[in-house]
Amino acid sequence: MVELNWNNIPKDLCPVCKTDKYLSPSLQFKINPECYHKICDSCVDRIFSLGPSPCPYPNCGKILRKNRFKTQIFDDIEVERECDVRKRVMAVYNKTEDDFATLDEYNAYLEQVEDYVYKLVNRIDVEQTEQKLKDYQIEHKHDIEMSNNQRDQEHAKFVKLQNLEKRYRTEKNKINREIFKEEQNLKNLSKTEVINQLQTASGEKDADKIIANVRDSMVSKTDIYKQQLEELEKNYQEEREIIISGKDEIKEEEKPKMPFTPFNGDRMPTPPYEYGDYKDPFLSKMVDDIQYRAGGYKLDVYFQKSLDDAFTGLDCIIEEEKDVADQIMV
Amino acid sequence: MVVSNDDLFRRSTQFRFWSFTRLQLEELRVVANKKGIEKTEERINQLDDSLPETKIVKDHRDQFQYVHLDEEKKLVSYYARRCKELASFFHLSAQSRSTAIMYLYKFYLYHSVMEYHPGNIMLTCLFLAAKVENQFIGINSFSKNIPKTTPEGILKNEYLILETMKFSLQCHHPFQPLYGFFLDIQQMLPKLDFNRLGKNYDGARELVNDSLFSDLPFLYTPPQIALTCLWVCDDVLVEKYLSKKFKVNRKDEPDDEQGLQHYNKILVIIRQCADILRKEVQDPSQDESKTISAKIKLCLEPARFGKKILKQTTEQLKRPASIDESPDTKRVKVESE
Amino acid sequence: MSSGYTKEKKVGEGTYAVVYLGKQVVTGRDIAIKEIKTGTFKDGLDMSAIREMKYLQELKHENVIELVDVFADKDKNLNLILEFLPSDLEMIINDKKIMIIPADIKSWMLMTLRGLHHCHRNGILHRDLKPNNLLISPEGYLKLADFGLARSLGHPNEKLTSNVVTRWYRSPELLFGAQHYSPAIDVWAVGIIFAELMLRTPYLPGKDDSDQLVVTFQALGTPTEEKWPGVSHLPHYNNLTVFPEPSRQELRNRFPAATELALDLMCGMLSLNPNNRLDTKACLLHPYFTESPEPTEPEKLPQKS
Repeated sequence: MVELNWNNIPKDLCPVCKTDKYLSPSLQFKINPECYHKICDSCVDRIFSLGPSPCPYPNCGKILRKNRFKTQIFDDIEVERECDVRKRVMAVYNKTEDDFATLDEYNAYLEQVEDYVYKLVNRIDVEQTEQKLKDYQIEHKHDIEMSNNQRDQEHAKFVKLQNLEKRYRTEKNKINREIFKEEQNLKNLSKTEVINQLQTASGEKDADKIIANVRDSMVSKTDIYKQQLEELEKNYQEEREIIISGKDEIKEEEKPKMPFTPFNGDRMPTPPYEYGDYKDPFLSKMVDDIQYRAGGYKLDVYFQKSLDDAFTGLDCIIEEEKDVADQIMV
Repeated sequence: MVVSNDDLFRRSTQFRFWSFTRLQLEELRVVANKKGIEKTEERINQLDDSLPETKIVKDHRDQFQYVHLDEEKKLVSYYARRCKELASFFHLSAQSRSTAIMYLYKFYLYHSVMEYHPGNIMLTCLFLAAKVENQFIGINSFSKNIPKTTPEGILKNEYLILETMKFSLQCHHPFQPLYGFFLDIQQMLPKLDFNRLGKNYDGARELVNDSLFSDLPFLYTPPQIALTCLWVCDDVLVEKYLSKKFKVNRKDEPDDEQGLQHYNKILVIIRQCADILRKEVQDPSQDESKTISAKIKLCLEPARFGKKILKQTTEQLKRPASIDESPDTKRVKVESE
Repeated sequence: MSSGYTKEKKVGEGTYAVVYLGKQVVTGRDIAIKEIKTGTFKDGLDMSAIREMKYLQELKHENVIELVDVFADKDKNLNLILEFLPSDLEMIINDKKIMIIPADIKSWMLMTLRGLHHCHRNGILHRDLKPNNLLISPEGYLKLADFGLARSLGHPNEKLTSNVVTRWYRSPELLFGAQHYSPAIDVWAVGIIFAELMLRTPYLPGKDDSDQLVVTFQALGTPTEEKWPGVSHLPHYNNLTVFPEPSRQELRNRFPAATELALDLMCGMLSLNPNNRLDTKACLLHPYFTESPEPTEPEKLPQKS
């Protein structure tokens, strides 16, 4: 067996259990920001599941906790360290350019932050720098929170804009498709069989007149669609403005509430019949049976359905509603 | 934003896919019939030229008889009637029976009898309708009870029928709306003799059964057909009911404006509908069906047409020599040989 | 696939169909494709497929799943194209990381009842309501799905099967084997779902059919001939332990987060005697929906994490 060099650990080997990635292809490693020593998943589980324990690397011995282990993102461990330090520092020093009166002041702030980061990464004056961080955090707790909120709001706005744009695009595509369909229909007219169908159906023998009629209806339809498109674009721009200016947040509270309608339109305000008492000796006898009464069968429900059915479609005049041109164009 | 009952009907597949103007309905059948003729012609063209029948068929093409438009309708109706009988045999409800009949008629809006014989399609329609209307009959039991059928033979049409019907299975028949009117009339005309109402309701139900064998389900809505059937049984009753409902023809008060329009509109529909009911309900005879079926046989297998002509010509050749089968003639024959 | 839809990945499988996630080519819209298995039902097209096709083609409501299309591929396999709904109420209830407030429960109940009302208005009983079948769209809308057990009301002389609805959500008349029941069976299921939303755990989880009766009556009291005339004549009725009906205070203890009106509505939906149970219309008109808090708007409802 080759002796393990703790200062130069081979890439795919766990120094604690000596498992090799070649023999165990699913091997994965974790590091802990306390000491950045690489340990494999199973060892982490084994050693740290029961509570904080010292790091198994010789000469380290730092007390590590299982929940602080994470997967290494960058190949270079030093880069990983620096990123972690930066993240920590930026969480405390989270001001943006808008928080400063002049560019110079902002730059000075940034310089200071870099200074701290440099010191921490290169292990210079660590204790003092950490203390400065802590003090700043306590002193400016409120400001830090405000900055965080600001950032979250910006993100929320961004997400809203994305969603709005997505909705707008879908609507726009839908309308464009309808316009395209109409244009296709007109193109199809050139095929004689469709002309023949139309001729027989409408009794109009002049092919040109038919085409003219259909073209007219197509033009009026596409006009409507184009109008819809314009309105859609207008609404989109308006809503965009509102989101950007942040007015939609205020609007939420001021919006006049729509009156609550439990059925949301799914019933007729005045039914086409007045429900009353009905006589049907045959059915009444049937449902008087104990099996019906105990099972909760309600003859009323059957009566109501029948009455509803009697008026479902009574006023639909099929001959008128199934328009000739529409039907054949489908 | 209110969804009225009429709106509900407009959303149904019955309205969206299966309601037509008279012209549209006719068009569909013309197209289907043409398709049948084309398919038959294809079959003729694909006949094996090496066979003697083929040349004969092609030579006598102008004599080949295709099934006409009205014959198509007749045959479908004939089998629709048979379907009704079969449904009774299986003790199926009016709902299942009516749905099966509708499926049959719908199928032949898009196909010709020259493509598929309605006698076969009808069986699958009935089987499918029973399933759809919760009166499931197992295919083995179903087939066993119908002579000369096999489970596979009946099932193999199921997919085709579903596809032709655009996978829309729900049928709305006039039975329940008719019952609804039966109830509403009680409410609107409380002094009406209950027996009179009951008798007319029963009569109207029979007419509703008949209406299925016409184009009414494609041209009018179920409540309209129901009301028409009731009106044919007792027009006075229905007009009195509608007058009361729409507040017209009142003794002491003027007609309600909107109500009058409504009343008139509905009566126009009823009259049109009743006209069709009186004149166009189909009940073809067995003979008519046999003639048409014979034609279909030839369309499905054009080679038979060739064979038939072959047989006819050979018989014609034989005939002059044996007009009379009396003993004298026989002797003459022997002598001339 | 030639028809204008692409299948992307399999997301589930049931007894009669396999479900895929896909896209509608022309619009890029996300859709779910339910491919019906052939050959599983020896009598032609499977009954569940028939029911789903039959009813979804006719129903159009914002709280009922949309059947976008039906078509068959070249091998004659039937495919139902449904709108894509990524999550369901069961996922949300069981995800402990999601916080549910009373306004949310009210919103889901409102949408469920609206969808159910639409079905009942069309004379259709769903017969399989449970949180798993209440799907949620990305915009937060709740939709009734899985109409594989649905049925039209039918004529009074028809006998219906009592073997419907998943056990924990099955109403007492079904447990007792009634063959002439009403849309009230669906309302019972909604009542159980209401309770489950408040408890974050199934309300009446019976281990088998007879245990279900026990669990139900332990919680809500055993029905008596007095309170439910005819119950003792139902097919599967037998002598059961008599549990007392819970008092209002006991219910308050069991459902600490419920307001008085919420308990009122729940009890109305969970009336043992189906004749006394509220129908969807009465539920929607119940003052619970107009008392504060207002139901959360769908977009703001919690979604699966």
